[in-house]
Amino acid sequence: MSISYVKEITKGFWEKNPVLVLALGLCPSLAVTTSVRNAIGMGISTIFVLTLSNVIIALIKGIVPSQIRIPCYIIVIAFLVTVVDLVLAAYFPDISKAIGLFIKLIVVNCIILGRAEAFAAKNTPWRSLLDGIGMGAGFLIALVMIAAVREVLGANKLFGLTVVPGWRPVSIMVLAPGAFLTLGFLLGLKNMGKRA
Amino acid sequence: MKAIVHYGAVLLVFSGLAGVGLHGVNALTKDKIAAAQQRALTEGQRQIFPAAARFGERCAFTAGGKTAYYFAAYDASGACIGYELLHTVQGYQSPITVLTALGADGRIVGIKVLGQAETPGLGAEIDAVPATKTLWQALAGWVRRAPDVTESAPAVPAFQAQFAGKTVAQLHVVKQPSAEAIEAIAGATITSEAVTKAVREAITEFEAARAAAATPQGSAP
Repeated sequence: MSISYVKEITKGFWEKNPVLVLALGLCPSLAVTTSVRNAIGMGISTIFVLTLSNVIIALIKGIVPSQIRIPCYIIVIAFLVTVVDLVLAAYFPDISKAIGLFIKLIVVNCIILGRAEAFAAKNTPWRSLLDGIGMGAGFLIALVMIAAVREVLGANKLFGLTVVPGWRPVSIMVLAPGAFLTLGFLLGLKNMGKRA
Repeated sequence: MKAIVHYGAVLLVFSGLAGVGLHGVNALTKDKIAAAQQRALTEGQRQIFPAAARFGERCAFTAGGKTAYYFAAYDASGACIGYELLHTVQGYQSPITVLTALGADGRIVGIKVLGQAETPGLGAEIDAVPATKTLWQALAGWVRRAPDVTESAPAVPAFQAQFAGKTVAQLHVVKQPSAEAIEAIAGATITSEAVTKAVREAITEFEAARAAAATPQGSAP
């Protein structure tokens, strides 16, 4: 694998992180980051759907007229999400119980449509596959960072385990304002690093 | 005009293919999903009513204008020691299905949320299990590779544990810890209310149906 292919995966991890740099997918980033376990469930589900949708959209880009590309992409994404949801519920009921809530949220995740539009519609299926894996992983990384801060400060827990026995957590951090505060600080830190 | 026909045809083909594909996936997974749900129900029934040795057939009654179900619970000697009620209400953003174990004394033995898709981190916390140990204990145990003994019995989520031992009159939601009511989850009042309503409605209407059936014939439903 040449350097440029490696770059196609790793650019999403940090340098072009979908949440912290491209500011995509903020809605799920705020909603599901109350615990690290939720963040991991959402991140893994997204990697899966994003990779598949990127590949399919790169394959069909030639036959879709550009004026109606968005509805076509949405049909592909909604189809994939429903398939994943049904297959998990049928064959992996335990996993489905844990992350089934997030699967349905992926339909409205703008990272999927954003990458379809900005990358898969202009690149080969192979590059789109790598982009999907990398951007999905970057989303997972950002979610885990936000969730780790919120879960420790807001619930005094990490992976559902108590961190400081006896300390009463700041419960605003698990509610919506805590999500905005954490995301704001992380975006600020990321931009500070860029200028230095 | 020509372009519109072209676009329409492309969209028709895409939607059609997606529809056919989903129909196929649904046909393949429908039975498996039903079986998995049945298994979850059976496990839930035993978990919340440990004293029961077996459960009767599913029977229907009406609660909140919808069809609800009840199962009679029998102990090892075959005596009826209570009922389990299955009722679904609308939560904040999803239907919530609750199984309630009702003892012969009219008190709740336990409840279990069998299905919900509420907001992760807020409404979905009705299913959250309290931490049994700290992160450091878990890390220390992992470093020493000590066998994990705390994972033996499936833990009851903290919110649902509040229902055990309560009567219908105590089923109202408050915002402070209380032994005489149900404490709402912070940030998820609507979901907390919905679960409480599901239990209250099921018990009230089940008792009413039983009383109505008992009056003319002198027998429980």
